[in-house]
Amino acid sequence: MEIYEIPAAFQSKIRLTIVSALYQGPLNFRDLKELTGASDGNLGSHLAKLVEEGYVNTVKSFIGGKPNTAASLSDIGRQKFEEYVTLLDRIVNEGKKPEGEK
Amino acid sequence: MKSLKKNEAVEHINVIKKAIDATSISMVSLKKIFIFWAVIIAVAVLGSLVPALMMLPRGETVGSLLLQQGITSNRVIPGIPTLHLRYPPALLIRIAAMLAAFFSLHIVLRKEKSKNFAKRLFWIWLSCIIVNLLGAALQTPPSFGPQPRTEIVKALMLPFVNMSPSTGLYQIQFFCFSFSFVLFVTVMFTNIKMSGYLSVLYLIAGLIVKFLPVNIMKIRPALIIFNVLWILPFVVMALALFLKQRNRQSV
Repeated sequence: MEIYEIPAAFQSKIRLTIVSALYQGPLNFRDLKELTGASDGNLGSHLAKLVEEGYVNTVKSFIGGKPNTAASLSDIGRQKFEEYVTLLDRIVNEGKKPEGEK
Repeated sequence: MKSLKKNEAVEHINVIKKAIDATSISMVSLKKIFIFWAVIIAVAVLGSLVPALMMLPRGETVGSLLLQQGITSNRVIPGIPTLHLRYPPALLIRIAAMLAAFFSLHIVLRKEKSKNFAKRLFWIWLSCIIVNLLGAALQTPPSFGPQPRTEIVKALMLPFVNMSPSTGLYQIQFFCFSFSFVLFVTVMFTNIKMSGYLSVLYLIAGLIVKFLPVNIMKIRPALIIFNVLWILPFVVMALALFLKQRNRQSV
């Protein structure tokens, strides 16, 4: 991944938070809502975008008669996230000379 | 596509770090579990007052009873009217508390897709609470109708400990040490310092009950039992609020 190849998924802080959180394991909609502090509609649209791009998978079900949406990171999402973290690391450390080098 | 500057990269790293910190120990699940348990324990403890009220002899009040047992002074609790009902109270409340614990476990594990460590922690807390409940249930046979004062005070101390001078102190020690251990395990799992401080607090409480002669301290055992018992829901709730606060700060 190059600097000019940053996927749209990582350009929004909420989406970045969602992907980072899901990197740890699946979470449901309520957990993500609490984590991001976003409203239902806002979170729903960000999740839909991530699903559309193939980064996140969602499973909708009913628990105790109430709807429940569980989200998890797809293999592509995981791979892209790891690449993005590597890219961030490269940008932050850019220009830093290795130790001992004059 | 959009290019990224260094300061934006640092900002994004911070966002990622905070999100991972907030979820790496499944804070969301833990907070829910602790709040849930605080409610269950509070209901069980408050429920124990009902059989005590039911068993009071005619003309007695809870306030006067607590006063006679040295649990309170007459300035703390004013007289509360009694109910004079005849029911088997103590065991039913304990069984109900234990059933509630099992059903709550089933519901929480079904609803929450919590991580393994959160489940393990939940099991440890559950085991500790059930063992304490069971210990109390096994030591006191079921009782029916109006009871002598000692039985009434036992019911007041439900669901964890008994008032009996011979067994009560051992049970308080077990209560303090077991919860100290559970809180310590919580620190190991979550690195929550507050849980560590509470663990030390319960350890000290247990050691005081074990080694300090109660009569020298001029404190009735009932007073210690009462305080230790009533503090527990607040301990669990404090942990839950701490987790909630930490979760909010981290994102």
